[in-house]
Amino acid sequence: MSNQQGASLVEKLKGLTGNPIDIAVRTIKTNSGASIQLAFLRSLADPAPVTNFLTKVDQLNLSETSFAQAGEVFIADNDQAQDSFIVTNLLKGAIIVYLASRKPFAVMTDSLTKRPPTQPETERSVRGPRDGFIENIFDNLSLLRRRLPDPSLRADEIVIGRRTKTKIAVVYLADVADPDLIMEVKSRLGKIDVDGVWEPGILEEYIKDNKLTAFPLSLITERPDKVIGAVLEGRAAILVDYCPQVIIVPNSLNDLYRAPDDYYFDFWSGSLVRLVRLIGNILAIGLPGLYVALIGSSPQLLPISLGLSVAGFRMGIPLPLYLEVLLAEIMIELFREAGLRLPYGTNQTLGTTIGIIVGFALIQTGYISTPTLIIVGISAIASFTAPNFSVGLTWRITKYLLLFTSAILGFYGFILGAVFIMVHVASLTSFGAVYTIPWGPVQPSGLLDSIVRAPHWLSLNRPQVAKPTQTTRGKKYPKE
Amino acid sequence: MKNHLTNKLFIPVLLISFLGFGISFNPFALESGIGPNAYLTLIIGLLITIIGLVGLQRLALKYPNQSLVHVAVNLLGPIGKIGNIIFWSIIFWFIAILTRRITDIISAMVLFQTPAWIIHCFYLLLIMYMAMKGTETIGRLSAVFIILVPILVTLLCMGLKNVNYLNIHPVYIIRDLDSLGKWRVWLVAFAPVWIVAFLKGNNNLRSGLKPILGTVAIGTFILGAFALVVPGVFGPNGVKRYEWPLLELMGTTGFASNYFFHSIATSIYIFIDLLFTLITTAVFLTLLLSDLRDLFSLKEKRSKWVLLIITSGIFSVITFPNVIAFKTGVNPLLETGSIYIPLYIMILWLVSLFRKKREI
Repeated sequence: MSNQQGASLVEKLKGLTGNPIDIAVRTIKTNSGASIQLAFLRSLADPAPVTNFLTKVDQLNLSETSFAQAGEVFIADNDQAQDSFIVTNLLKGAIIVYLASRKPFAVMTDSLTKRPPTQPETERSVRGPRDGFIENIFDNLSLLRRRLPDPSLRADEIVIGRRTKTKIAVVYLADVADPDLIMEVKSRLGKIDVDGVWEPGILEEYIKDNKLTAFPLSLITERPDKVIGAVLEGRAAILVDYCPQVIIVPNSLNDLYRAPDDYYFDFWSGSLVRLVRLIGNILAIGLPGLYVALIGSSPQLLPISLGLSVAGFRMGIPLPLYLEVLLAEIMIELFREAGLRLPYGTNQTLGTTIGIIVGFALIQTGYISTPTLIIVGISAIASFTAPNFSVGLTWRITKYLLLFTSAILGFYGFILGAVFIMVHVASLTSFGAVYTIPWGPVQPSGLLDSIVRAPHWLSLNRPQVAKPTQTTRGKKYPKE
Repeated sequence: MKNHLTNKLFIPVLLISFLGFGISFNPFALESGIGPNAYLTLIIGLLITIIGLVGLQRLALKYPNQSLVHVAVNLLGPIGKIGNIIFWSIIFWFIAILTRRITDIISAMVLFQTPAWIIHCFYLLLIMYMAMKGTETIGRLSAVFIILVPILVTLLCMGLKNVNYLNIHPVYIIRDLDSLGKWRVWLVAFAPVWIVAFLKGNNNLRSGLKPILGTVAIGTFILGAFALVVPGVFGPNGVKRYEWPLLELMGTTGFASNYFFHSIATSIYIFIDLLFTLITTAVFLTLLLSDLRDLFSLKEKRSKWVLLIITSGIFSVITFPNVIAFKTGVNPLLETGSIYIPLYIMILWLVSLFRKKREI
């Protein structure tokens, strides 16, 4: 290919791809005097593996198969338009190779920037593996396959997004997962027809049973061990390319306070940690509402000494109790949101300092009483006991609902609000699975792994949330 | 609206409705109507209910997948239609009385200064929401909250230490046997059992009576204990001195002279009482709605309007206190209703014995 031809190739590619800033065509002269053109997008591909290869091999007998040493080779089908083949592969990050007297073909080099599978920031654990998913779907699959080298492990591909053409993998155990569940998952995913999907949160909104609920009807995780646990229970995992989060379906209310750590400690410690987390979640949801209900409008239900003590602290506070709590809650929300956005390094220092100064000033000026600050503080810290960040957000929403009903109708409103939330929860399903399992309807095998964590040797049956086709995990451990 | 009730969902609905209705009325109604040995009448009530449940099972087996509305019309013709209207009216009044009873407690104990109509309004909105979600959702909710039954029993047991056993000494049994003749109040507590058996989507009667009978027996035992503790603490007719059952229970929940715990126990009791009543009224409302839907062959969207009309009717009835005398210990509507429903079902059963199965 001459220089003139090379220039025309650049023009052609610019025309095909819309003249992007990162299009590049590199010409490599061979020993025989012929030239090979390499076309690629600088932002996506690194030509080094191909050029290195070309310097090492005998360039007289080059063919498509020779380039397999530099990367994965793709050749256009006979019926595929050549321009379409070139553009598609360029955008995937391949290098298009123009060999004399041959059709152009693509070489995919493993050159995209990757980060190592580090521990997820939002799902830290004391025990257990430290790796987390990264952005590449195949690397994520490898994290799963290495843990579960079972021939039944399936990873079915679905492409979603007219423009993004995002790879989605539905991962499950073929002989454990309910076929109807897998069919339903694929069917719901297949119905999504939008121009772009690039994050599981977007998928999640489309595929959940109840589109308006604030409760998570699927679990999002960055931990491979959590996905393995779920797959072994007959659930399906949905992996999205270029995203480290994985969706697990179906799930139940019971899953919202279970964390992988629970299963790595012995069952006494695991149960204690889980119980603490459950109490934390209840406090996060109900404490501010209950405080407003009992102190604000139904103090007759409090022990006299406690009621008088709180009333003493609230002497001279100009705001009604619900506004006082709301003000404190808004302050906490602002700190929380600002803490996430502040530059790393300054966020902790600044957050703590301002928190102390503002908190102290609010008490000194008499806008917020000390008991209110204690209650709001406990509730805020308790919301972080949720094993998952998105679950913590749900608890915050329900907390405000209870705060609102308590402000209007006191303790009566608190109960009505709590029952309303529970009715809503009881009406939910996740991919057909009842959300209140294992308590409603009562399911003995699930109860073993609910408020407390049963010993592994006793948990012989899989939970029925996903209706697995194989109900038992294994055989009873023999007594010595 | 999902209306499929499995056995695992039906049993909690049955127990909670039974207790929700029974705790609100039974010990107090019985005690003021009969006397300190009123708990004995529960045994008679239980026996009648067991016979009734057998009859209900026979009806359910003979007329599968049919609601009471259809069975009655099928068996009694136009008289069945009139019988159904009375049946629905009774359920309507039961919802109204139960709602008024619990909201009065809330007015007395929790919200002294809030107008009653606001308390009624929010209560009815919630049960309307529950009814809209259907019996399956109510079943799941009941199953989740079944855990509160042992807590209720614990509260009851704590009251035992204040019971003066002389108040319920067996020596009074013979003296009070005459009062057992007040048969009108025998079945007050058992009304929900008869009503819940006809919930839409409930096929459990056909599959076997054992779990249902067991549940009814447990419920009867708990209500019997209530009927024992209340006169035991306050003496014969002592309950009449106290307007609200809750206040009576407050006197029985002292624990290690710890007032702190006493307040918590009272708050928990309010929570349980309100929750159980909510579920009971929601179940009744769902039954009423599903029957009317069947009668008029309404679609789901339109049935929401029917629900709104029924709830508005209940709101009107309970907000204007002159419509029903709610505060009487033994409400005449309660007595009449609790006798009519078993009687109606027994008649249907008897008629069905002489009739061949006929599809509508």
